Amino acid sequence: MQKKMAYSFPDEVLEHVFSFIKSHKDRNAVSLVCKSWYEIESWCRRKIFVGNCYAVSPRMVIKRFPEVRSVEVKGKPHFADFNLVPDGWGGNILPWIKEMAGAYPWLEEIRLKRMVVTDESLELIAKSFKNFKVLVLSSCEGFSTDGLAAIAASCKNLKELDLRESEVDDLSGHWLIHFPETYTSLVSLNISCLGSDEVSFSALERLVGRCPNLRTLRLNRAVPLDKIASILHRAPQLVEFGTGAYAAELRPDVFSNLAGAFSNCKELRSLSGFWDVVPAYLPAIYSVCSRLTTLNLSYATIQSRDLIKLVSHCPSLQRLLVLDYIEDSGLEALASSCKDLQELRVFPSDPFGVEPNVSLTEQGLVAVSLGCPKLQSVLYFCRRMSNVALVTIAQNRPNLTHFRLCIIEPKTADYLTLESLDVGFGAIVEHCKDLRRLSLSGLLTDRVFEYIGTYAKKLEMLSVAFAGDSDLGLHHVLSGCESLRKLEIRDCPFGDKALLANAGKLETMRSLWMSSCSVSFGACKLLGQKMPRLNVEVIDERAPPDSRPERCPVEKLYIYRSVAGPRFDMPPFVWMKDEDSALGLS
Amino acid sequence: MSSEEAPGSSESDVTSMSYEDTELTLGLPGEGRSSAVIPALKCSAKRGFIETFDLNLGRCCNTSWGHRHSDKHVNESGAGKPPATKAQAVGWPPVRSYRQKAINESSKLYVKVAVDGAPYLRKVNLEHYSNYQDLMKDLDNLFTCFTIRNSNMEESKLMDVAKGMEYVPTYEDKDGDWMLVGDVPWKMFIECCKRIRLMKSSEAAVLALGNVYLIIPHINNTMHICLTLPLF
Repeated sequence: MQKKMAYSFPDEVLEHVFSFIKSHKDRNAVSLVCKSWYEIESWCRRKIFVGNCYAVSPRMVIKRFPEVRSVEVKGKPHFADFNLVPDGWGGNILPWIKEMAGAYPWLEEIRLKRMVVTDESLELIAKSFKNFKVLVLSSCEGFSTDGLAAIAASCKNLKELDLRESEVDDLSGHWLIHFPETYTSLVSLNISCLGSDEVSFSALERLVGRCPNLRTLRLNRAVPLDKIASILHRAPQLVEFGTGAYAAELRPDVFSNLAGAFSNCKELRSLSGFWDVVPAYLPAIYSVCSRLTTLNLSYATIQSRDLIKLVSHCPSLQRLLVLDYIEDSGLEALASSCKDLQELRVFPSDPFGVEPNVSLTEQGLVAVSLGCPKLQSVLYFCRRMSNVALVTIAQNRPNLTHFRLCIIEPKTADYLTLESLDVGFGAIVEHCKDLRRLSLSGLLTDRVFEYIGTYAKKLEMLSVAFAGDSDLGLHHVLSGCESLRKLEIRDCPFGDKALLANAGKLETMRSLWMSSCSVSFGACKLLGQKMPRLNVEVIDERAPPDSRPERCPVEKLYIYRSVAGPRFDMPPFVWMKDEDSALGLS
Repeated sequence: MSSEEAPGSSESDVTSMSYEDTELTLGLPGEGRSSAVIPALKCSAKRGFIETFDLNLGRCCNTSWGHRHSDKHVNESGAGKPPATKAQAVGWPPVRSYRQKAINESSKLYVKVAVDGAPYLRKVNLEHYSNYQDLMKDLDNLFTCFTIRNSNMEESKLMDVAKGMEYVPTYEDKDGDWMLVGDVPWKMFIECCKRIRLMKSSEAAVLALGNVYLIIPHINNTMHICLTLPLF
């Protein structure tokens, strides 16, 4: 019997087989089979994903994976989106770029999320990677149009430049001109985050005209409506298009040009932009509506009646982002027109208003849950909720995978019974067995966490605010949620006990964020000492945490697993345990 | 002064109070007036601030910054509610700042339009128009049963047109004064206009005395005098 059969495959064969395995999870599993598989997998891995830039060092990555072509790195924790992470906290990509510039000269793709990216980093990218193709900067900041100009000028093979939701310092709209006239390989350009900053329109037109493979183009607000037709005529092959400000004086010639240009775009499947919408211009897109699968109207401050008219033209819609101007009546219309809907996001038009400004309640969400059998992902802002509505939604839609509900006023009770919403959210986790992401809001006791710990076995990310009564709540989650990777908590009465009792759990997760809770500095120190493979960061802008008694609660706490040890770029307001007490790491 | 609010709302109840009742006082909340919660009005908003300020001296120390649910206690004592936006916890509700910016920028030019005698108001986005003519044309369409303009209206003729029109277009500016539409250049107008009211000309007496215009509209039982003078 040939016991050594498995080992007699030439490496090239194994490498070829592994090339069909794309997902990171699967590749990680492959690498654990045996030593030779680990080694072969290591030098043929082409894509790496680093979920937390401080979990591992660039040198460690490069040492293990020498032939990488595509890198994805994430920096700040999610609550940074809501200004909870102070400026200067960290997440700068430059150390990574510097190391990769030397080690990966053939790097093609860089995708970053919530990272600080300076012009220096962009210029280094432009200089170092001769075959650079894809740059995606999602919710990043720290760079200006000068950095973009460097990318445009040097990256001859660039296919994708996507700046989604990043903050860009606008120094000059002329950066687009730096794309040479010989450059024709653009496939995707997303500059929607540039807002009202002007870009050189004629350069944009020429660029679009000479790139025959362009399929995604998302413009920024500054591009006026009357320019859309000329862009679309140059790129009728577009699949995804984002307008600028969708407003102009009503003129029949402008309208008919626009409508004609849209009707030429037979491949168009996704529309976005729509700042400052003049409703009279919406019918210009009707010719493409029947094919649309994604519609982002989350900047369109138009009324329910106009929204209803629009969505009723879009029977193929799978993804809708919209403001709460759509109201319950609009969501009912959506439920009856769009049977393929998979994802719905409803944003608040007046998040800080005291009184509701629109007639959008839990009823709209119930209607969509009833009418849209494929609905999987929900993000919903509203001002009132009831347990009976949540139970109905859970029963209607057990296929939900993402459920993020934000009842705007913290600790809002069930408006019908004045009870907590424990039972409602409990029904969600009980019925939706594949739920991967959950955000809670409203009046909630420890009970809801008991439900979550009991039922939410596939839950990977949980967001909690203004909820719970005691450490028991946190304990239920940490001890019960087997698949939990990210937990973010703010303004909850959770303290030391549950955290310390579940210290081991924290090593199985990517990260834990707690702010305005009751975790003491002493507990943080203890955790840092007990768990060498966790970085326990105490973030306190008021004063160094060791200037107060140990029992004082810390302002913010960010705990993440890491094989890289303490980071070297901590600002003064971030404290971590002493280097002396850290175990040495190879 | 808010004839445009829905009848039966407590704001219109307040407007029917006598002038003395709306006068600013520095008493503690609840003293010397009815116990009904007085919602935000121009005068009461100011009073509300003073009352909240007095309350803050006593109560605020225990409240940690960012926990605004304690504001509820302030309101329940019968004090005037503070204006519609209040101190919020940082990062709550969880809306990204670029979204807030985008929506704020686009909605600031939406203004309510009231027409005397119409049972409901409309809202228009002043950004949609580039001159007074377009605005008036649209308003005409919105309130088709009311004749509101002279078809030959131009900016320079608005002053005289007032005499021949059934409705006088007026607007409330940032200072809270009611002005005649058309005085200032369009771009300046859209920046300072907060709401528009088409006043029945029988209720408005427009006197042209050289360069001085006196508008005396009747709003319920209170008199509101607005004097506009050209800048020298």
